[in-house]
Amino acid sequence: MGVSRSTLRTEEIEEIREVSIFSQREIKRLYKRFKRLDKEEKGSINVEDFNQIPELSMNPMLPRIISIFDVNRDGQVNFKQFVKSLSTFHPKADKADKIKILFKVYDINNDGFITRDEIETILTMMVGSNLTKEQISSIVEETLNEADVNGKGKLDYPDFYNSIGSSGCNAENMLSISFNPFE
Amino acid sequence: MFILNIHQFTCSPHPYWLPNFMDVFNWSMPFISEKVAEMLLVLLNLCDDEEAEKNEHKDIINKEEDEKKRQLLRANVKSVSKMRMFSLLRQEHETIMMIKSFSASRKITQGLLTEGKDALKKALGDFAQAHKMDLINEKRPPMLDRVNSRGELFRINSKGDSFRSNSYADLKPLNRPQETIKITECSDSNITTNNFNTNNQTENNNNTTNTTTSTTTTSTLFS
Repeated sequence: MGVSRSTLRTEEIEEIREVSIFSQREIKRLYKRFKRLDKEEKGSINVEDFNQIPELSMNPMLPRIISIFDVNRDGQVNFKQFVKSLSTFHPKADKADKIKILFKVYDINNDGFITRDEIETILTMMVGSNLTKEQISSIVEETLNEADVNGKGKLDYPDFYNSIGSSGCNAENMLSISFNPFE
Repeated sequence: MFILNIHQFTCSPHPYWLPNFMDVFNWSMPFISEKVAEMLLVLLNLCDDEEAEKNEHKDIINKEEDEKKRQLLRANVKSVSKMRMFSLLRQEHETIMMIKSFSASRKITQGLLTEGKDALKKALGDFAQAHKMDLINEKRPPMLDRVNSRGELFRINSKGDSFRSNSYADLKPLNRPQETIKITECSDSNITTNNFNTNNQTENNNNTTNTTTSTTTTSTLFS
């Protein structure tokens, strides 16, 4: 890897198709977009490059969303990771995959568990100064008491899945982006 | 015996509940979905090739429109200038007519109209001053009769030539009544008078004839 090319080879396209829902034409189009973001022509995007886009720098959840794409946590996003993460937002993607995306948003240190501090950090990131620290702690306490079945003091993925699924929340409609312009 | 029951109450804050008693994950999922979708749309729209082409085409159109606007603005400025000239012509019509009457070509000096009202009035002042100074030249030239030291009379005819004349009859008012009396008395005197007139006409031609004729005339008057 590392050699810059204008188009993907057929083998690479087939490899990416196996891990994503997109068709060959869609993958080619996504690769064109990816090349525009890859300013240094080295086949991957720096995480810092996302912050330089004006529309994204105002997004309070930007650090957590970038972590969705950066699977290796090395500060680089290659095209394979890019497409694999994007396919989760396809309307045809599996519901479990979408809930995994949410789990990754809360799991800051990527250790497979959501702790009390992590939930408070995410909430503070979302609500800003609208809620006091005591209110956030109260909310987190209630949530953990409901979802933490075994009393571990933190949540693993099955606990998170049960918490999301049991409330009847419609996850299919959320975390979905229409890719109609590609079809 | 009466016993008092004393109850002491303490208040504790009510715990904060999310709407509909939702938990954190369900409550926050719409927000996360919105932000994630927003980010992805920005990423995917940032480098759309078709939009880039549209933008370039749009720039070209903008340049052409700018040129058209510039031309339109130039035309507007010209039309406003013309309107200003026309209003000046209307307001200062009298002044302009006077200036035209003074100048030989019956036209205003070039560029005077654009200089404005003050320039027109100043030009009119110049013309009036010149006219006033030149007024003396328009009068009739004065008649000039001169008598030298000998008492001889020199007269100037219509051509400006100077000639000597001994005839004082035309100048002295006393002589006129005498002539009138003589004419009434004698018919010969009438003939003499006619000769006198003829002699005057002859004097206009040459000087020699004048001398002879003058002598004859003097004798007649004295006798």
